[in-house]
Amino acid sequence: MAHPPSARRGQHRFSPPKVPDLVPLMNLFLTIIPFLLLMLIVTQIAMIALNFTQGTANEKQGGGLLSGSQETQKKIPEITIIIMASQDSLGTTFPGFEIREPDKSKDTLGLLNGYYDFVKLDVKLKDIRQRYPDLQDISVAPYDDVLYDTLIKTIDLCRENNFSNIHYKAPQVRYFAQEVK
Amino acid sequence: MNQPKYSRDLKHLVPKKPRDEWNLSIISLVDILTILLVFLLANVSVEGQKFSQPNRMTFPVSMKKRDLLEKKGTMVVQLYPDRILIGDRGIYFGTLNEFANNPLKRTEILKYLQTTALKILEDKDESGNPRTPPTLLIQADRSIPCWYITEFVSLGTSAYYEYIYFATLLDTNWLQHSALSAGR
Repeated sequence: MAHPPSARRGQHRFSPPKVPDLVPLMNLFLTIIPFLLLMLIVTQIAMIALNFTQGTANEKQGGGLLSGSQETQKKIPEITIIIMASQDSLGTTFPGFEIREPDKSKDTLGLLNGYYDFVKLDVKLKDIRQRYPDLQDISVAPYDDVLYDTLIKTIDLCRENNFSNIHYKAPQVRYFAQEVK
Repeated sequence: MNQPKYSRDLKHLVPKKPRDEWNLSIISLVDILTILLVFLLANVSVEGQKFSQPNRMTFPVSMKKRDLLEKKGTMVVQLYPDRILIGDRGIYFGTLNEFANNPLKRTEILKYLQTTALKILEDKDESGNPRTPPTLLIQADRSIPCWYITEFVSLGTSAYYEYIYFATLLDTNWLQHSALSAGR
């Protein structure tokens, strides 16, 4: 039996709304999102820069920022931190740090409970900073068997104590042959 | 006695009362996923992968963050405990043992570094100066002995690289952790 037009309109009004098929889109999203989450970098990467310039920073600046004469510039010491990992038969090297300053005896820092004593090194660097507030340059010389981690931590401590120019040095090993008569 | 049986027989004839079902609309879910997708696409960059921590390598830690001077002219050297990879594509240059014992291997690496540095220097601006200084980024595992680092620093400086960076992980509290592990 045919319905009048007004009744047919009424029938259509209650039909459910058409929903597009979202399942393929969901599948695509569920593939892309784990992939992007895998690529997301959560760790923060930092950098440590090295300086290969010779001499002190004050010399580089040509005295522009410092009003001191050449004599005062010469007084700025060359400080070297030597990092050692093993003990040799002569006892010249030991696991730990050696801080060399001109006109001063060697400062040595051994291991503490088998670990490098970075806390004491930090104290020493703070002491050097107090004595030389304008000093920007410091040299780090690791022995060949020192681990990269120890080197980076030492350089990082120097940066923390406002030594902006860090020079990387390889320690010079010299052998002296004794003539046997 | 017959009453329950009768009612059971007619059960299918009685219209069921609609249950209150909790339905999650798929449209809302798609909206959430779209927002998440846009966020992830905005944060993930292919360039970032170049300077991120490579798999199976543990960086040493440092307290301060310092960005690279210029990313454009940067050559990456990756020193794993078992292999050496150089460049964005990670070209294999042998093992650390080969590097230490084979002078030809070192010459090969030096030549490659020189070629890439010269390529970076060829890219000049209007005034004829190189756009970016050649920069060497050393990504090494924390357990690598310093001898290899020293050698690569030496190779880098011999190959016209003006700046040398060491990649590290940011950890502002490593000194405190170090003091604890040393038993202070």
